[in-house]
Amino acid sequence: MLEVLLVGNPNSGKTTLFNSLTRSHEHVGNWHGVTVENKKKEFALEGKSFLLVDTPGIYSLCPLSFEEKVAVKEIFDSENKKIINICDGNNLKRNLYLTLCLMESGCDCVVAVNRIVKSGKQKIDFQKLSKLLGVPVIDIDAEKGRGLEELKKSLSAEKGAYELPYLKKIQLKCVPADRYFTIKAYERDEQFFQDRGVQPNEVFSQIPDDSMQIISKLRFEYIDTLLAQCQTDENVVYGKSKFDKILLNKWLAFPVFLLILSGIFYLTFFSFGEFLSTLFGNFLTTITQPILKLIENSLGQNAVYDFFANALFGGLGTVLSFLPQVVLLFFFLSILEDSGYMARVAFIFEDILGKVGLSGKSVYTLLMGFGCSTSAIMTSRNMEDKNAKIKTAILCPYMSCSAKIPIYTVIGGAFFGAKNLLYIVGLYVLGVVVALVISKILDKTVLKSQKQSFILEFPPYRSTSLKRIASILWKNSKDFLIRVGSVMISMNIIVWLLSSFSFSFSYIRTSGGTSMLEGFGRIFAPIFSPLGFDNWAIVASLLSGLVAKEVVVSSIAMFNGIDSGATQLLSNSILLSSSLIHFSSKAAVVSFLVYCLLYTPCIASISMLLQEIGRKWTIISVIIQLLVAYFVALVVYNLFFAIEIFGFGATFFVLLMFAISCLAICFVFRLVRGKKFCHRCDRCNKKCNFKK
Amino acid sequence: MNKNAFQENTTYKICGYKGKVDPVCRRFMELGLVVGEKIRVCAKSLQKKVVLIEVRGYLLSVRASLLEKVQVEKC
Repeated sequence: MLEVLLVGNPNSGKTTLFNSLTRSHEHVGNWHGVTVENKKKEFALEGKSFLLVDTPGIYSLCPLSFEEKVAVKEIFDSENKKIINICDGNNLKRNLYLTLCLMESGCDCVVAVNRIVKSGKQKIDFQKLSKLLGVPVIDIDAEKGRGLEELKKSLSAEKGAYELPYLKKIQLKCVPADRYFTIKAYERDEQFFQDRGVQPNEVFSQIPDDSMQIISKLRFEYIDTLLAQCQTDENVVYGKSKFDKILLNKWLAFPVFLLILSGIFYLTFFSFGEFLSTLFGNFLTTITQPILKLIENSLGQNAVYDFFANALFGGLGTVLSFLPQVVLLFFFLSILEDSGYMARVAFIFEDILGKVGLSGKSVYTLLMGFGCSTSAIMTSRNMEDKNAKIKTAILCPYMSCSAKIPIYTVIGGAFFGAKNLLYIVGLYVLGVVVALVISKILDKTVLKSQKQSFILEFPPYRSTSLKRIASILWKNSKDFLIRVGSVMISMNIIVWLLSSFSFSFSYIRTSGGTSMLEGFGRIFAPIFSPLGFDNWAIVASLLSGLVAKEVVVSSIAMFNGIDSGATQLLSNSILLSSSLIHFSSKAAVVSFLVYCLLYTPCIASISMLLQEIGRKWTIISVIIQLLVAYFVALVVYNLFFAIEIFGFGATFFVLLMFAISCLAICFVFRLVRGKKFCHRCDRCNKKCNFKK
Repeated sequence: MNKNAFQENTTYKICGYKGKVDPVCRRFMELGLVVGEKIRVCAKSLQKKVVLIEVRGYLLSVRASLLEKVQVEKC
């Protein structure tokens, strides 16, 4: 089967074209490095089947980051292939560089000029450009579908002959005497020669020292010559905007970013999001109540009724009612992604993240972590430095993912009421702070970052289309429902069976006794006693949360005997009932929420970590998560417990005294150490190299 | 080249590259930072560790320390 590879610069519209050609809904964004792995799908054209491959963005055939290596490998490995080289029509000056690299390698390619944002009256003579290049050049709009028929037709065309005149200017006397080997030698692509068993230094010794400068200049000069003949130049700077005066302003950039983020969280968790969630919860209750009544009337309140009421409608209904909030969060994150603002955020955060051994590019991965840790971990591939990639992937689970929204809203809402907003914001901030501290520790110890190569282009600002909004809403709703329908149903059945039957498999609601889950819960419960929640049911819900975080709330709902999807009802039940789930104090609630925020993520995230950073680092990551969650929850519990007993003022005073004592000890230690160690100069407090 | 080497709203012309060509230098050249090309510094981050440059009609943000290898002269 003929493979059709979609190859182009990052953010040129490859995935958008892939979606249009195959009617898929793959993730797209106005940001560098959204696609990090090859995506393949069959599509038919005039009776023939093609395998369309969407590759990660590259600038040339010399890869730098992990995802670029994936794309270049695909280009060189595929034998029966045709390449669609997608160029951003607004930035041909740079995009044609890759076209020339592909043509030099002898690839059979078609150039698709994608024009998403129309900049002024810039005109391109596509026929002339095609004639000059010697390959088909087609004007397309990947999103709206313009020019796709012509592009499909061009795939059936035979490979034409073309010549690149500038190649005559470079020495072709290299060993082995092959044109492409000479080009790669000029590019000083060591990896290329190593892969083919050739010593790179032997080859490089035969070419000028500034060979890379020579070949890149020749390519750009040729591009300028081409474009001078077929494009009207307007001197428009692609990506430049008046908004950047505010959004990149040294003093306004951070407050504006925080304002945007706060707005998103406020709309998602409160006001609009809360309203939609309650509405959807009530809707679910209206549907489930008559069914339950029907079962009760026909079968009575037996095990079957209990299963439907607690495991199915109670547990799942509670989580389902959060569907609007989860979708809303993904929707806002997608708008951020599409807008082009993410590159600006990476720019402003590079300074701060550089200090903890991360790159500004990590911002994208970490922000995506607020949506779903699993997909966020995957985006860490766009890091060039291996250690930075491992660190970013390890830190993703500390960003509070959307699956934790039900936990905060239900448990926090029950105990803190309107003040829950502050607790939720606090939890999100705590996750970020813990992640930064861990990154700094890792950077200073086992994962020292190399010099980061932060090079990122700025895309233009863009609005999200209605089609894209619909696609986002549909995709995330579908993913959430599939997750609820598969993992959660099976998990809820297991939890229900374990909590309803004893070790001798007798139904405990009628025969009494201890359930299997209670048995397991009681084994682990003492471990959590210092954190303020040694209740077996809470511990059991945490254990079930290892599969998926949503299961924590559905388990709690099940243990409380909630048979409805209404959040308010569940919150009230936890607060008022004499049910299994109860917390000894508010400090224990905060401690529980902190533990939920920081402990091991779901199984899907762990398997993704395994895939991206290997077994060793995944195990280390899980151990770190468990230890950090325990330690931070312990500190938070004791702090809040002290506030509950002694009041805020007294606790603050003690903490202040403690901090001052620590500082004093450090100061004294520093002086003592200085006197002890600096025996060379007797003048400074440090061990110096002064020689008397 | 220290972090204050590139001044905001100033145009520079690339003269060459210092030392051995490493993957980062190669990436710069692939992005259009070739000898003779003009670049304009549009903005700097708060601590001046990242610069936003205008090159070949588009914007590129780069860590300032990476530009140490690029030899420039003021236009």
